[in-house]
Amino acid sequence: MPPKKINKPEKGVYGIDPAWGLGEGEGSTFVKLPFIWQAGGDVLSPDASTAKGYLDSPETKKALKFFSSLYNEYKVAAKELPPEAFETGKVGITVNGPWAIAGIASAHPEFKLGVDYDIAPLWKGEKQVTPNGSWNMAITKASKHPKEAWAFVNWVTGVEGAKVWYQETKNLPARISTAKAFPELNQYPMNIFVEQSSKFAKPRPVTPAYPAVTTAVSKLFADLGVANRNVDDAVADAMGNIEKALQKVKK
Amino acid sequence: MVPASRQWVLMFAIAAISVLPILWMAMGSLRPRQELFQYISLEWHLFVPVKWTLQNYAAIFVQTSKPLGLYIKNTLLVAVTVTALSLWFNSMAAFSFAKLQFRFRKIILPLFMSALVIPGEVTMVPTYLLVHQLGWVDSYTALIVPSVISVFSVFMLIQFFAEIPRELLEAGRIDGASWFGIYSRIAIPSSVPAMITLGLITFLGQWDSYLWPLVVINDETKQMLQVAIATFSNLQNTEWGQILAADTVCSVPIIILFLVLQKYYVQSIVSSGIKG
Amino acid sequence: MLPKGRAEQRRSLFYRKGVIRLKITSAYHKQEERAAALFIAPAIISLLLFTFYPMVKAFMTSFEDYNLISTNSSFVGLTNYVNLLKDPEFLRSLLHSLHFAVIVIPVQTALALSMALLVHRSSKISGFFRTTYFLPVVISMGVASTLFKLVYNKDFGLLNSVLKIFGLPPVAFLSDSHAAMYGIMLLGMWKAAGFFMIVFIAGLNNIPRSLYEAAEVDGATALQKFFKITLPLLRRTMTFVVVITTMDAIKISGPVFILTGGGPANSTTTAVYFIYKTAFQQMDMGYATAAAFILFVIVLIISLIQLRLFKTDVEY
Repeated sequence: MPPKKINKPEKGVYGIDPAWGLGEGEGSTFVKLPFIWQAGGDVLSPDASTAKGYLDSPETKKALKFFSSLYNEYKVAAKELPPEAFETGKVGITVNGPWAIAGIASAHPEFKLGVDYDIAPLWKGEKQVTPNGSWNMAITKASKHPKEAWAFVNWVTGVEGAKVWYQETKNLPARISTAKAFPELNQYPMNIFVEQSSKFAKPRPVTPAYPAVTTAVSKLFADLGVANRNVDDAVADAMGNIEKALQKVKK
Repeated sequence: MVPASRQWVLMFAIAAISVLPILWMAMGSLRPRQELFQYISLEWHLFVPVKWTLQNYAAIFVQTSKPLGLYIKNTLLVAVTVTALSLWFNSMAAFSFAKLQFRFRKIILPLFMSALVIPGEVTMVPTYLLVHQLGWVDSYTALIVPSVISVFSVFMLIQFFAEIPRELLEAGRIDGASWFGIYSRIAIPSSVPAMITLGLITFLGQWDSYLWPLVVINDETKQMLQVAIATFSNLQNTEWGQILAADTVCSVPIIILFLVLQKYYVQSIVSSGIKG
Repeated sequence: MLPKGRAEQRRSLFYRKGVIRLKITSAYHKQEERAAALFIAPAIISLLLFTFYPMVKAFMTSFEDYNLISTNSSFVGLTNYVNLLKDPEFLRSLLHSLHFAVIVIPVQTALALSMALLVHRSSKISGFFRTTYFLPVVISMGVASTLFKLVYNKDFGLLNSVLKIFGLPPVAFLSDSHAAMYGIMLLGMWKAAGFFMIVFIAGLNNIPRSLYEAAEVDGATALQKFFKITLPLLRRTMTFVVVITTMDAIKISGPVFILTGGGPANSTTTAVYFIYKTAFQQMDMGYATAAAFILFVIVLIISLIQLRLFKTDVEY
């Protein structure tokens, strides 16, 4: 349901910022993918070999149509928002990650969690899915110290290493046991993120062609939101680019 | 042509368009954050802060996540090094092309000049690969070494050196000076204005450089000013007041440098463009 | 330093002692050659290494399937070029660059010439305005682009504040895919017009005063003087300005990087930005260099045509 009640575009107040505006870049893709996933669609096949049957599935297209309608039909989302729109009362609902809480607290001490805003549980479409984010680790083929690198990766993804990683970066830990060790992760508001990530998180497509995939996906959403393109055409364009890139990495 | 009064209106209008955004930037950097997006209609406070603050400046120099001071230091280091080396090597080459007689000069010079038409867009990728092979990625060597030689600078200096009479140089030779002595004691002092001009152009080019550092520098602590500023504005929680402060800090030295040396700068444009 | 006369004297001395002269000159020439070689060596080496070698390499790479991630490369002939000419995204990026050029070249040139005409006289006041008009040129592209991100903001930007003062509707340069390219153009011209103004001023100052005086005696109007004297005699300057503006315009990318990131919905993805994205985000080096060569050839052809069109026989 589009949030029409709180939408007052004539006053510069909008219902929702569904996924970090309509810009380019990885962050943009990251927060937009759940739209597709929640509707039961996907970008690539599970083995990441093709987008056919996934990015052009009826489920995906339904999600994309819904996303586009927020901007173009119901007009509850703005193509351009002023800076700090949520904190200054220009947008009613925003979609963001746990890191945003500390940012708001330091920049807008007057805008209080639990008083001026609150955190809703993950909404539900066909499914409940949230993007699995943060950082990935890899050891390159050309590494001069593969053993040492492995020792590090092994440690930092282990129970103790993950604690240090969380303390230093404040990125949600990948291990539940690590999350249990920090009281603040078991209290409101962080417990919501920890619980839901452990239940519903899904990683982004795993393929060497990912740079092309992410570019195509963020452009696909921009095509629909900004330019109000026909969903079938925009999907066909994105499919073309993704398939081309997948072909290249197969060789 | 146009009546005088209308001409004045036009002159002031263009001046306003040129300067107001810069003024708006400088004044915005002195506003507290609550005020930044407050004044949007025609009134005094569209440009003048209600409450003046240096908070934004304090933040950009203190914050460890965006150490602007470090980026300025990095950029100054690279820009000054490139400018110094560039003046030295380009002037030597230009002196040689303009004044010395050597075999193959007639072949080497046009070949050299032909590099003027080779666009950086085409060579950027292979140059990056070369720099990568040399192991220079993430080092200032990658920023400095490929930027020193400028065909344009050599071209301009040849024009200046050409005006020094050869007799003057030969006289120096006969008095026992080496060619390097003649270059450094006769040629260089006689072309100080050209050297200042080119130095300024080179320095500005380095201060402005964005794409090349973006490509070859990954280590954030080694990053250059322009890339850093661009990155600030792409962050999720963009602190616009601080960006305006960073923009102002980045512009003030250049504006001052320009105001002091504008005579030469303007002269360089004039002579490089029109002489030929 | 020696006065000229003494050098002449010495030289005539050599002529008298012919034999010695021969010996000295050959040693002298050898030294001169050695000095020259040493002096140009750094420039030549650097140019070979960082310009000519990459150029040749780029040409070869453009015929390869060369991805930086897998680091395998294979010769694919003209495939990259053929695919590019069929790639709607590349063609659209070329179109965006040409769109930019077609608008900016005439508008910016007219603007720069008007500015030059307004302030070319040498007086204190003209000097003040000249400096003012030139200021945007020294503001770096990174600064200007971040600044204009705010200036263009739909709700709070300076531009829309000013438009409102004049009773005009707001423009969303950053989120309207039809308007965004014009936002890039405006920024580009704001930054570059002052530079070309200076070039025009230099050209204007080269036109002899006497021509205007003679025309005034004949009772010519200001417009007649402009079209009969100023414009024809500025032809060489005009050629320079137009050719340089064209090259810069077709290769426009600076503001795109920071102001719009090629968006919204790819509406400001220009050819150079496409090349950058292909090379450094998709890591597809072969495809990117082939695109760069296509762009290079286009720029070259347009420049040559312009030079031919502007070919001038007017001398002053």
